[in-house]
Parts: sequence; C-alpha cells; structure tokens
Amino acid sequence: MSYVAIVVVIIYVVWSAATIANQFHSWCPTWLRALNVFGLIPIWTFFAPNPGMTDYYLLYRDRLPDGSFDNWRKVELKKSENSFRLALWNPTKRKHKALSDMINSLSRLANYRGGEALIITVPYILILNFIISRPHSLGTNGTQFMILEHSGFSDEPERSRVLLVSGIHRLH
Amino acid sequence: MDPDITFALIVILASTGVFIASVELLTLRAEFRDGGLFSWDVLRTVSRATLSVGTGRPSQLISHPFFVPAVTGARALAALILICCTNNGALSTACVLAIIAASIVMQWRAPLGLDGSDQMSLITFVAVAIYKVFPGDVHVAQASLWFIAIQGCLSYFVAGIAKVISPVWRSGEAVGRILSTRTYGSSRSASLVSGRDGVCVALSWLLMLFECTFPLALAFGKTGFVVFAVLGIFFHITNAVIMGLNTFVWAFIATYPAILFCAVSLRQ
Repeated sequence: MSYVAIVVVIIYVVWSAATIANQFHSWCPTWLRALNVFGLIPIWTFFAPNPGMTDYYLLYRDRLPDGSFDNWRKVELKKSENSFRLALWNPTKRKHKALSDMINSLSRLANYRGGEALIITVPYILILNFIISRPHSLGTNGTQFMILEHSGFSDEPERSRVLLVSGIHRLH
Repeated sequence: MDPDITFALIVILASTGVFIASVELLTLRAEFRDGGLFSWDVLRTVSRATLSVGTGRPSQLISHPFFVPAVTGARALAALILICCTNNGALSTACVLAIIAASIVMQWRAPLGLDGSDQMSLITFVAVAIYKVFPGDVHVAQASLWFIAIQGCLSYFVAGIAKVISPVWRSGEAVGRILSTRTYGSSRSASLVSGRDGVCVALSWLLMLFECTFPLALAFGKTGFVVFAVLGIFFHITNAVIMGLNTFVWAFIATYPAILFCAVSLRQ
C-alpha cells in the first residue's frame, strides 16, 4: 500500500469516527462541531428522534394610518398536489425547509430569550426582512408577523396554535 | 466488480441528483435577493467566516444578482457533463471538484433549507474526487468505495436507531402525523393514515427494521445487497412521491454501487 493510500485510509477512518460522534448532540464535542465549516460531518438522524409533525404558517398584518390593523395575511409557499411531479421536481421544498428551519430556531430561542434579545437573533431578522419585502397595504406605517403551528391536514382553526407574535415594526 | 465501473455508476446517479437540485435552486434565485428568504444582508451574519467577508469586493460579488445563478448554473453544468461523459479523465475530475466547490459555496451562502441529500452528495463527491486525483491507485479506489458504502449504511442505521429511541416513532404517531402535514404529506396520504393507528404502527416498525438492518446489505454478498437495494429504492421512491423528497432518491441510491462492490469483496 502506498503512503498516499495510507493517508487516505486514515482520513476516511477519522472522518467516519467524526460522523459517528456527530450523530447525537450529547456525544459530540463542541470543538468537532466548530470544525465542521465545510459541512462534511453529516447528521443522519432524519425526522428523529423528534420529528416535525406539524406545519408552520407565517402571517403578517399591517398597521394603517388611523392606528387600526388590517387582516392577517398568510405567506403562501405553494406546494403542488401532483405527487408524481414532486417525485421528479420539487423546487419549493427548499423554501419550506428554510422557513421551517428559521421557525424552529426562533421557537427554541424564544424559550429563553424575550423582547429585545429575541429581535436581534438571525432567525427573527431573516423572517422580518422577508415579511418587509411582501406586499403591504397602502399608507401602512408598521407591520407585525405571527407564526402559527397547525396540526393535521384539515383547516380547522382549533388545530392551530400561536407560537409567536412579533412586535410592530416600522415600515418606511 | 471493477472499481472504475462502480465509480462511473456512482457519479452518474449522484450527478443526476445534483443537476436536479441545482436547477431547482436556479428557480429560487429571487429568494436570494434583498428581502428574500436567503437575503445575504442577513445571512452573512450567521457565522464568523461569512461575516468576515466584509463590505469590499467579495461582499459586492456575493450580493450581486448573478452570483447565485452563476454558481448553481456552473454546478448544474458540471453535473450534466459528468452524466454525459463520466470517464473523461481530466474533464470529469474538474467537474467533480467544481461540484464540491459550488456546493460548499452555496452552503455558506445559504445555510438554510439544506437536507440529507445535500450532505450525502457532498460526501460522495469528495470521495470520488480523492479517487480521481489518485488514479491507478487501487487501494485509494477501494478505500473510497468502502467509505461511501459505510456512510451510506451508517445513514440508514443511525436514522433507524434515532427512530427506535423515539416514543412517537415506536407508537406509530410520527408516521400518522408527518403524513398528515401539508409540508411532507398530501390529502391522500392524510386520509390513508387517518384513524388507522395499526397501519401507522406497522409502517413505523417496518421502517425501523429496514433502516436498522440496512448494514447487513454488506454481509451477504450480491443476494443480500439486492434485497436491501430493492427495499431501499422502493423506500426512496415512495418518499419522493408522498413527501416530495426527490433528490434523496439520487443521493442515496448513488451509494448502492459502492455497497454492492463492498458486499461482493467481503464475500470473496
């Protein structure tokens, strides 16, 4: 075996060991996660042990010049119902996943940060930045967003619960 | 099985997945502009590495409207070239390296919305790159194939164990509720599992059994591999149809030629 092959084998062994260590958060040392700048140490715990079993909806409403609010509007991330098309082509899954990632992060942060500490977090700013770029009512001077968690496929309101309501953010 | 043929199959399958993922990302280029889900103004603050890009030319380049289409377009083109001419030495090596570089750049640019297929593709291509950079070294080729096979088997095994330790998976609740979401289910899948707890429990345990035993695909030669490969292909296609996880099909099935190679080698 050549020296190159020996080095390659060592790299693969170390990489595999790092992969195993990274599978469960409690096993993985912080320095290892810090080294993962290229995303080469994967996590294979898909949908487990705590799978996402609900849908998240992002809504927003605008504050009108008279101080009242218009109706909540849902941010639509359309998903095709054509299953066979989705099996081949599904560009919206990245948007859904990104929004889900942001909301999950924000929910976790909201458990131990509130108020001003929450609004300077990256997930909050990302969502706010996204909401600000949506269409707004004429003359509006502020906007507010809400994250709803919904369980099940039907639209029954009792299956929804409010996860977070933001403060009112000024629109220029 | 000849390692070169094995790698050719791996590259074609993995490149197909990367091509689809890249073109999908191109259709989302509006989300990379200011105000989009992947706005650079905000995402650059995610890590020290991206924050240190600063406000000079690199930042202007990354925030330019053509940056994301250029990088993902290059990745798509490289994948397409690999599908068509995987055996062309220097060109295929360059395309593999281009895919790795573009994937890492896009990971930094938008670290949100990534999934397991992105992880598996990247790992596979790095192992392929190592093989291509040292052509003719049979031990490097074998080590790279074993690495891909181990990562493939590990992915199923870990996914299975993570489910076994989860009460919602053991009870079947996870299957029923995931298939009833609009994100990962459909009206049809929701109606299929609604009120059918027994079906959900059975599906859940069958899935856990399949995933936890997948590493046995290495242990029983060609026959054992074929059994697990058929189940695996069925599993991934079902996930693609029901849950829309289309790129998982290509990323994970791309590891199967390596698993077959290793299964046959072990038997011999």
